[in-house]
Amino acid sequence: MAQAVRTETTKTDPGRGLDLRKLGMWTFLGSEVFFFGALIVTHMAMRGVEPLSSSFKSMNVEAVRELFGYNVITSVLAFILLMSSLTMVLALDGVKTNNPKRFRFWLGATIFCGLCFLGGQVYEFTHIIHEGVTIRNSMFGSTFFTLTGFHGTHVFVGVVWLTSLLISSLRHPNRYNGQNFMAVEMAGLYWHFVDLVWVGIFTLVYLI
Amino acid sequence: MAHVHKTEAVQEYHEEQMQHHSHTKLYVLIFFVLFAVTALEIAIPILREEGMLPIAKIPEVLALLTLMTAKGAMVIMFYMHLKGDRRMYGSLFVFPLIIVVVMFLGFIWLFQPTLW
Repeated sequence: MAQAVRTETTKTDPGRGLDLRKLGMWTFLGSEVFFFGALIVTHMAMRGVEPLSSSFKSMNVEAVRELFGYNVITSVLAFILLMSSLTMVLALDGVKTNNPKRFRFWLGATIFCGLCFLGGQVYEFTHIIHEGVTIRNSMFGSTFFTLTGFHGTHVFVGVVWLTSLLISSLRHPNRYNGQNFMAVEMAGLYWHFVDLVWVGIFTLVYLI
Repeated sequence: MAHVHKTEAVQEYHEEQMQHHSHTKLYVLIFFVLFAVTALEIAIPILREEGMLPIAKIPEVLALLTLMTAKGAMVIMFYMHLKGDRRMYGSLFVFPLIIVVVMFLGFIWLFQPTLW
Protein backbone atom coordinates (compact mmCIF):
# COMPACT_ATOMS: atom_id res chain seq x y z
CA MET A 1 0.00 0.00 0.00
CA ALA A 2 2.87 2.32 0.91
CA GLN A 3 4.37 1.34 -2.44
CA ALA A 4 1.17 2.35 -4.22
CA VAL A 5 1.05 5.67 -2.39
CA ARG A 6 4.67 6.42 -3.19
CA THR A 7 4.02 5.62 -6.85
CA GLU A 8 1.06 8.01 -6.90
CA THR A 9 2.95 10.90 -5.31
CA THR A 10 6.29 10.68 -7.11
CA LYS A 11 4.67 10.89 -10.54
CA THR A 12 3.19 14.32 -9.91
CA ASP A 13 4.75 17.55 -11.05
CA PRO A 14 5.78 19.45 -7.91
CA GLY A 15 5.57 22.78 -9.73
CA ARG A 16 1.88 22.69 -10.53
CA GLY A 17 0.63 19.68 -8.66
CA LEU A 18 -0.45 18.03 -11.90
CA ASP A 19 -0.36 14.30 -12.37
CA LEU A 20 2.05 13.79 -15.25
CA ARG A 21 0.29 10.66 -16.51
CA LYS A 22 -2.98 12.55 -16.71
CA LEU A 23 -1.23 15.50 -18.32
CA GLY A 24 0.28 13.13 -20.88
CA MET A 25 -3.10 11.55 -21.59
CA TRP A 26 -4.82 14.91 -22.10
CA THR A 27 -1.97 16.00 -24.40
CA PHE A 28 -2.43 12.80 -26.38
CA LEU A 29 -6.19 13.36 -26.57
CA GLY A 30 -5.52 16.93 -27.75
CA SER A 31 -3.43 15.52 -30.60
CA GLU A 32 -6.24 13.08 -31.36
CA VAL A 33 -8.61 16.06 -31.68
CA PHE A 34 -6.39 17.33 -34.50
CA PHE A 35 -6.30 13.88 -36.09
CA PHE A 36 -10.04 13.27 -36.10
CA GLY A 37 -10.74 16.94 -36.79
CA ALA A 38 -8.71 16.71 -39.99
CA LEU A 39 -10.51 13.53 -41.06
CA ILE A 40 -13.98 14.96 -40.32
CA VAL A 41 -13.20 18.24 -42.09
CA THR A 42 -11.86 16.36 -45.12
CA HIS A 43 -15.00 14.24 -45.28
CA MET A 44 -17.33 17.20 -44.92
CA ALA A 45 -15.47 19.24 -47.51
CA MET A 46 -14.95 16.45 -50.04
CA ARG A 47 -17.94 14.13 -49.78
CA GLY A 48 -19.94 15.94 -52.45
CA VAL A 49 -17.03 16.72 -54.77
CA GLU A 50 -17.50 15.55 -58.35
CA PRO A 51 -14.90 12.99 -59.38
CA LEU A 52 -12.42 13.79 -62.16
CA SER A 53 -12.32 10.24 -63.47
CA SER A 54 -15.46 8.74 -64.99
CA SER A 55 -14.72 5.45 -63.23
CA PHE A 56 -15.38 7.22 -59.93
CA LYS A 57 -18.85 7.31 -58.46
CA SER A 58 -20.44 10.72 -57.96
CA MET A 59 -22.30 11.22 -54.68
CA ASN A 60 -24.13 14.34 -53.61
CA VAL A 61 -25.66 14.95 -50.21
CA GLU A 62 -29.09 13.62 -51.28
CA ALA A 63 -27.49 10.37 -52.45
CA VAL A 64 -25.69 10.08 -49.13
CA ARG A 65 -28.95 10.56 -47.23
CA GLU A 66 -30.61 7.92 -49.39
CA LEU A 67 -27.73 5.56 -48.67
CA PHE A 68 -28.01 5.95 -44.90
CA GLY A 69 -31.81 6.03 -44.87
CA TYR A 70 -33.06 6.76 -41.37
CA ASN A 71 -29.73 5.75 -39.82
CA VAL A 72 -31.22 2.85 -37.87
CA ILE A 73 -27.91 1.00 -37.50
CA THR A 74 -25.88 4.09 -36.69
CA SER A 75 -28.48 5.30 -34.19
CA VAL A 76 -28.23 1.99 -32.39
CA LEU A 77 -24.42 2.28 -32.49
CA ALA A 78 -24.66 5.79 -31.00
CA PHE A 79 -26.80 4.49 -28.14
CA ILE A 80 -24.40 1.58 -27.57
CA LEU A 81 -21.42 3.93 -27.27
CA LEU A 82 -23.35 6.26 -24.96
CA MET A 83 -24.21 3.26 -22.81
CA SER A 84 -20.56 2.20 -22.80
CA SER A 85 -19.56 5.64 -21.52
CA LEU A 86 -21.96 5.19 -18.62
CA THR A 87 -20.65 1.70 -17.84
CA MET A 88 -17.05 2.96 -18.01
CA VAL A 89 -17.65 5.80 -15.58
CA LEU A 90 -19.47 3.37 -13.26
CA ALA A 91 -16.45 1.04 -13.43
CA LEU A 92 -14.19 3.93 -12.38
CA ASP A 93 -16.64 4.82 -9.63
CA GLY A 94 -16.50 1.19 -8.48
CA VAL A 95 -12.72 1.15 -8.23
CA LYS A 96 -12.64 4.54 -6.47
CA THR A 97 -15.10 3.32 -3.84
CA ASN A 98 -13.08 0.11 -3.30
CA ASN A 99 -15.73 -2.14 -4.82
CA PRO A 100 -13.82 -4.58 -7.07
CA LYS A 101 -16.89 -6.63 -8.02
CA ARG A 102 -18.71 -3.54 -9.25
CA PHE A 103 -15.58 -2.39 -11.06
CA ARG A 104 -15.17 -5.69 -12.92
CA PHE A 105 -18.85 -5.99 -13.77
CA TRP A 106 -19.07 -2.54 -15.35
CA LEU A 107 -15.68 -2.93 -17.06
CA GLY A 108 -16.94 -6.19 -18.59
CA ALA A 109 -20.13 -4.39 -19.67
CA THR A 110 -18.03 -1.68 -21.35
CA ILE A 111 -16.03 -4.29 -23.25
CA PHE A 112 -19.27 -5.96 -24.34
CA CYS A 113 -20.65 -2.62 -25.59
CA GLY A 114 -17.40 -2.00 -27.49
CA LEU A 115 -17.62 -5.40 -29.17
CA CYS A 116 -21.29 -4.77 -30.08
CA PHE A 117 -20.29 -1.46 -31.63
CA LEU A 118 -17.54 -3.09 -33.68
CA GLY A 119 -19.96 -5.78 -34.86
CA GLY A 120 -22.47 -3.11 -35.86
CA GLN A 121 -19.83 -1.19 -37.74
CA VAL A 122 -18.77 -4.26 -39.69
CA TYR A 123 -22.45 -4.82 -40.60
CA GLU A 124 -22.82 -1.20 -41.69
CA PHE A 125 -19.66 -1.31 -43.81
CA THR A 126 -20.87 -4.49 -45.49
CA HIS A 127 -24.22 -2.82 -46.26
CA ILE A 128 -22.59 0.30 -47.72
CA ILE A 129 -20.14 -1.72 -49.84
CA HIS A 130 -23.08 -3.83 -51.03
CA GLU A 131 -24.74 -0.57 -52.15
CA GLY A 132 -21.73 0.02 -54.40
CA VAL A 133 -19.76 2.56 -52.38
CA THR A 134 -16.18 1.50 -51.64
CA ILE A 135 -13.07 3.22 -50.35
CA ARG A 136 -11.75 3.46 -53.92
CA ASN A 137 -14.64 4.50 -56.14
CA SER A 138 -15.73 7.89 -54.75
CA MET A 139 -14.55 10.83 -52.70
CA PHE A 140 -17.41 10.08 -50.35
CA GLY A 141 -16.33 6.46 -49.92
CA SER A 142 -12.63 7.28 -49.50
CA THR A 143 -13.18 9.89 -46.80
CA PHE A 144 -16.07 8.04 -45.11
CA PHE A 145 -14.28 4.71 -44.75
CA THR A 146 -11.03 6.39 -43.67
CA LEU A 147 -12.81 8.39 -40.95
CA THR A 148 -15.10 5.69 -39.60
CA GLY A 149 -12.42 3.02 -40.08
CA PHE A 150 -9.96 4.94 -37.92
CA HIS A 151 -12.67 5.46 -35.33
CA GLY A 152 -13.42 1.74 -35.35
CA THR A 153 -9.70 1.05 -34.92
CA HIS A 154 -9.69 3.31 -31.87
CA VAL A 155 -12.66 1.39 -30.45
CA PHE A 156 -10.78 -1.86 -31.06
CA VAL A 157 -7.68 -0.50 -29.26
CA GLY A 158 -9.95 0.60 -26.41
CA VAL A 159 -11.50 -2.87 -26.15
CA VAL A 160 -8.02 -4.45 -26.01
CA TRP A 161 -6.93 -1.93 -23.35
CA LEU A 162 -10.01 -2.52 -21.19
CA THR A 163 -9.70 -6.28 -21.59
CA SER A 164 -6.09 -6.13 -20.39
CA LEU A 165 -7.27 -4.11 -17.36
CA LEU A 166 -9.97 -6.68 -16.62
CA ILE A 167 -7.53 -9.60 -16.91
CA SER A 168 -5.02 -7.75 -14.75
CA SER A 169 -7.64 -7.06 -12.06
CA LEU A 170 -8.73 -10.71 -12.11
CA ARG A 171 -5.16 -11.97 -11.76
CA HIS A 172 -4.27 -9.43 -9.07
CA PRO A 173 -7.52 -8.65 -7.21
CA ASN A 174 -5.98 -5.89 -5.06
CA ARG A 175 -4.12 -4.09 -7.80
CA TYR A 176 -6.76 -1.41 -8.46
CA ASN A 177 -8.41 0.25 -5.50
CA GLY A 178 -9.36 3.59 -3.99
CA GLN A 179 -5.67 4.55 -3.72
CA ASN A 180 -4.45 3.21 -7.04
CA PHE A 181 -6.95 3.88 -9.82
CA MET A 182 -4.99 6.02 -12.27
CA ALA A 183 -4.61 3.18 -14.80
CA VAL A 184 -8.41 2.81 -14.87
CA GLU A 185 -8.89 6.57 -15.12
CA MET A 186 -6.48 6.73 -18.11
CA ALA A 187 -8.35 3.97 -19.92
CA GLY A 188 -11.62 5.71 -19.06
CA LEU A 189 -10.45 9.03 -20.52
CA TYR A 190 -9.47 7.27 -23.74
CA TRP A 191 -12.79 5.44 -23.92
CA HIS A 192 -14.85 8.58 -23.32
CA PHE A 193 -12.85 10.34 -26.01
CA VAL A 194 -13.74 7.58 -28.47
CA ASP A 195 -17.40 8.11 -27.53
CA LEU A 196 -16.95 11.86 -27.93
CA VAL A 197 -15.58 11.40 -31.46
CA TRP A 198 -18.64 9.31 -32.32
CA VAL A 199 -20.89 12.10 -31.00
CA GLY A 200 -19.27 14.34 -33.65
CA ILE A 201 -19.21 11.76 -36.44
CA PHE A 202 -22.83 10.77 -35.86
CA THR A 203 -24.13 14.32 -36.20
CA LEU A 204 -21.78 15.64 -38.88
CA VAL A 205 -21.55 12.58 -41.13
CA TYR A 206 -24.90 10.85 -40.69
CA LEU A 207 -27.43 13.48 -39.69
CA ILE A 208 -26.38 16.68 -41.45
CA MET B 1 12.27 12.94 7.08
CA ALA B 2 11.33 10.57 4.31
CA HIS B 3 9.13 8.71 6.75
CA VAL B 4 7.28 11.95 7.64
CA HIS B 5 6.72 12.64 3.94
CA LYS B 6 5.33 9.16 3.41
CA THR B 7 3.04 9.42 6.42
CA GLU B 8 1.67 12.74 5.16
CA ALA B 9 1.11 11.29 1.73
CA VAL B 10 -0.68 8.25 3.17
CA GLN B 11 -2.88 10.54 5.28
CA GLU B 12 -3.63 12.72 2.25
CA TYR B 13 -4.73 9.71 0.22
CA HIS B 14 -6.81 8.35 3.08
CA GLU B 15 -8.59 11.70 3.27
CA GLU B 16 -9.13 11.67 -0.48
CA GLN B 17 -10.55 8.18 -0.24
CA MET B 18 -12.85 9.17 2.61
CA GLN B 19 -14.05 12.12 0.54
CA HIS B 20 -14.92 10.02 -2.50
CA HIS B 21 -18.59 9.28 -2.59
CA SER B 22 -20.28 7.31 -5.31
CA HIS B 23 -21.74 9.49 -8.06
CA THR B 24 -23.84 6.78 -9.64
CA LYS B 25 -27.08 8.80 -9.60
CA LEU B 26 -25.44 11.75 -11.35
CA TYR B 27 -23.87 9.50 -14.01
CA VAL B 28 -27.16 7.75 -14.71
CA LEU B 29 -28.98 11.09 -14.88
CA ILE B 30 -26.40 12.40 -17.38
CA PHE B 31 -26.86 9.23 -19.43
CA PHE B 32 -30.61 9.76 -19.66
CA VAL B 33 -30.09 13.36 -20.70
CA LEU B 34 -27.61 12.23 -23.38
CA PHE B 35 -30.07 9.55 -24.47
CA ALA B 36 -32.88 12.10 -24.80
CA VAL B 37 -30.71 14.58 -26.71
CA THR B 38 -29.59 11.82 -29.11
CA ALA B 39 -33.21 10.78 -29.67
CA LEU B 40 -34.05 14.42 -30.44
CA GLU B 41 -31.11 14.60 -32.85
CA ILE B 42 -32.34 11.54 -34.71
CA ALA B 43 -35.92 12.81 -34.74
CA ILE B 44 -35.21 16.26 -36.21
CA PRO B 45 -34.10 15.18 -39.74
CA ILE B 46 -36.79 12.47 -39.88
CA LEU B 47 -39.59 14.87 -38.90
CA ARG B 48 -38.29 17.45 -41.36
CA GLU B 49 -38.17 14.96 -44.21
CA GLU B 50 -41.66 13.73 -43.40
CA GLY B 51 -42.92 17.34 -43.45
CA MET B 52 -43.89 17.35 -39.79
CA LEU B 53 -41.25 19.91 -38.84
CA PRO B 54 -41.48 22.87 -41.22
CA ILE B 55 -38.01 24.39 -40.81
CA ALA B 56 -35.36 25.33 -43.38
CA LYS B 57 -32.11 23.45 -43.77
CA ILE B 58 -29.91 26.02 -42.01
CA PRO B 59 -31.95 26.11 -38.76
CA GLU B 60 -31.96 22.30 -38.82
CA VAL B 61 -28.16 22.20 -39.14
CA LEU B 62 -27.78 24.79 -36.38
CA ALA B 63 -30.09 22.83 -34.08
CA LEU B 64 -28.15 19.61 -34.72
CA LEU B 65 -24.80 21.34 -34.13
CA THR B 66 -26.10 22.85 -30.87
CA LEU B 67 -27.32 19.47 -29.64
CA MET B 68 -24.01 17.85 -30.64
CA THR B 69 -22.06 20.51 -28.73
CA ALA B 70 -24.27 20.06 -25.65
CA LYS B 71 -23.73 16.30 -25.73
CA GLY B 72 -19.97 16.65 -26.16
CA ALA B 73 -19.76 19.18 -23.33
CA MET B 74 -21.67 16.87 -20.99
CA VAL B 75 -19.39 13.91 -21.78
CA ILE B 76 -16.27 16.05 -21.23
CA MET B 77 -17.49 17.75 -18.05
CA PHE B 78 -19.09 14.83 -16.24
CA TYR B 79 -17.77 11.56 -17.67
CA MET B 80 -14.22 12.79 -18.31
CA HIS B 81 -14.39 14.74 -15.04
CA LEU B 82 -13.06 17.96 -16.52
CA LYS B 83 -15.56 19.84 -14.37
CA GLY B 84 -13.67 20.41 -11.15
CA ASP B 85 -10.36 19.13 -12.54
CA ARG B 86 -7.26 21.22 -13.25
CA ARG B 87 -7.68 23.87 -15.95
CA MET B 88 -4.46 22.81 -17.64
CA TYR B 89 -6.06 19.53 -18.78
CA GLY B 90 -9.00 21.39 -20.26
CA SER B 91 -6.75 23.86 -22.07
CA LEU B 92 -4.82 21.01 -23.70
CA PHE B 93 -8.08 19.68 -25.07
CA VAL B 94 -10.04 22.82 -25.87
CA PHE B 95 -7.25 24.64 -27.75
CA PRO B 96 -7.04 21.97 -30.53
CA LEU B 97 -10.83 21.88 -30.60
CA ILE B 98 -11.00 25.63 -31.37
CA ILE B 99 -8.44 25.25 -34.16
CA VAL B 100 -10.42 22.35 -35.64
CA VAL B 101 -13.64 24.41 -35.61
CA VAL B 102 -11.87 27.29 -37.41
CA MET B 103 -10.39 24.82 -39.91
CA PHE B 104 -13.83 23.27 -40.41
CA LEU B 105 -15.50 26.59 -41.17
CA GLY B 106 -12.66 27.62 -43.52
CA PHE B 107 -12.71 24.37 -45.48
CA ILE B 108 -16.48 24.32 -45.81
CA TRP B 109 -16.44 27.94 -46.99
CA LEU B 110 -13.72 27.12 -49.52
CA PHE B 111 -14.92 23.80 -50.90
CA GLN B 112 -18.60 23.42 -50.13
CA PRO B 113 -20.19 26.88 -49.92
CA THR B 114 -23.52 25.52 -51.16
CA LEU B 115 -23.34 22.14 -49.47
CA TRP B 116 -26.06 22.96 -46.96
